[in-house]
Amino acid sequence: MKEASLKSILGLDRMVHEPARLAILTVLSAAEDVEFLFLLKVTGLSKGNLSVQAQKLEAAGYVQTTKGFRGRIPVTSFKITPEGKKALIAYHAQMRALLPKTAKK
Amino acid sequence: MDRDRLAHMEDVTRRYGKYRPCGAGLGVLWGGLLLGVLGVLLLQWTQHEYAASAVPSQTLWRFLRDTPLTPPGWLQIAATVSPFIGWLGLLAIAAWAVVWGRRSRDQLLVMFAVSVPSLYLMLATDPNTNLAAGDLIIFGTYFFLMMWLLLQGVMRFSRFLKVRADLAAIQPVDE
Repeated sequence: MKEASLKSILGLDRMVHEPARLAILTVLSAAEDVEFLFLLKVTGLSKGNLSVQAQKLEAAGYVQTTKGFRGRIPVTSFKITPEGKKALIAYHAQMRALLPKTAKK
Repeated sequence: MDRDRLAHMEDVTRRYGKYRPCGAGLGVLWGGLLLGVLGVLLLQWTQHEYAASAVPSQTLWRFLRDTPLTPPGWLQIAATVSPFIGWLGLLAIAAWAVVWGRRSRDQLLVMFAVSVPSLYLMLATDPNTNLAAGDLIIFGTYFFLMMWLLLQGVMRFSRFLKVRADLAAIQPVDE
């Protein structure tokens, strides 16, 4: 593996690279805002994992969480932030640039 | 988490956001149904008038073209209240949509469509006009609008059902 490819791999945003977080960001990038239950269903993650990964993404500034009520039922919804969108786009670009190179080896 | 699965998640999310409850075509479906009921009433009355007053050799086209027809009171009332019923229905759907999804995308169009019969019948009650041949164009427009609304409603609702089924078919991931 060339040094440049290795640098690219090491330079990947690990906050985005983790599969569960990548799934969350991908879903959030396709909608204005997404409720917890929909995100749970569409990603197929467990409740615990989804909560933990969403918290990490929120701490990184990639996701914004809103807690509210619908009548008496608490509703948590998530929204991707501009930073999150930027990070996801950059990640896709890095992967596109990286994959053909590594696949040839 | 492979690329296909990610793409599928993205696609389901987009489609769900587009078609969920009120985007599911309930507004246009409601407008189309309301127009359909009015259309049946209008057609029944026209047929009744044709059967009662037409000369035996007169075609429906000729009858409509040559006979001044004034819609009966019940039809005028039905046409006058239809925009209000339409509006109330849209309000109810919107209230439901606030809870469950998006507001109707085509409220203005539905309101316009359900107002057509009223305008049409109000014009027809003018003794100087004739609910006849020229109005067949309005009949045509009215029919087209009704079919368009119903088609839109059915299409959106079926797409919504499809995306719900797709969502339900997503399996949990092994973590």
